[in-house]
Amino acid sequence: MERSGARAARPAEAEFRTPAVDIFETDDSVVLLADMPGVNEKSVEVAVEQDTLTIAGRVEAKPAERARVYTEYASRPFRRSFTLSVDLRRDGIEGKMRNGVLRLTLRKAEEAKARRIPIKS
Amino acid sequence: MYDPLAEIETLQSRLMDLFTGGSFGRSDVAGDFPPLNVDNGDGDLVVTAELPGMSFDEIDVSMSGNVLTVRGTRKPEIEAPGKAYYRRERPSGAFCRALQLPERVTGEAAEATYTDGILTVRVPKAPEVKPHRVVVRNP
Repeated sequence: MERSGARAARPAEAEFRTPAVDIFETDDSVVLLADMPGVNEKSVEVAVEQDTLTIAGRVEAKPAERARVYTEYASRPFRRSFTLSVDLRRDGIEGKMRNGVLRLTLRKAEEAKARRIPIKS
Repeated sequence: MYDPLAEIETLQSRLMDLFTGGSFGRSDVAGDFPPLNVDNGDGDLVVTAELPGMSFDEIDVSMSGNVLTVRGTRKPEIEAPGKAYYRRERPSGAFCRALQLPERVTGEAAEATYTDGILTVRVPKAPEVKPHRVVVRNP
């Protein structure tokens, strides 16, 4: 039987793992933290294309001299995409990779920043 | 050709999209934390754990007989108060995993390293289970 349809339409799912993320908002930015164990600053990729932010990372394969006898995780590359809000600036995205965690800081556009209203006594 | 199986899969993936909202994917984190792999070498066993966002002095690794225990606490990110979370998928809190290794080992000689969020514990096998080379001589 021919297998087509859904499987063929989403080939990326089998190749990539989806990293767990935390996303939170501060006064002037949105911060994204992504767990990508085995990825370092050389093997991480962050790309913005129009409204889509994509994070990806390669991991090193298991050394060939040993045989895997027990498996709970697959050493496959990570990849995940997000839709960016219009309130976030596309430029000046800051990224840091430390101990397998990617930290992205996306600055809010000026209009989207919470305005602080001074209160006079 | 009509393929009912493909139809069901399409429906299933659409339903998943409905639950996952704006993002294209969903997190793969499930089950025990941290996930472990075991590799068997000639003279050692290598256990790796995906344990991102820790520092090496926060991870406690111990061996008792051939049982390896990895424990620690993954602290949640502390930021300015009043921050609003859109997504919170990364596991945090105390964890403890114990794993019985599939061979007899010399636990005192185990070595652990922590790089890029991956803990690697190398445990030499006990001398009696290490493979020995038998020399074949001419009579």
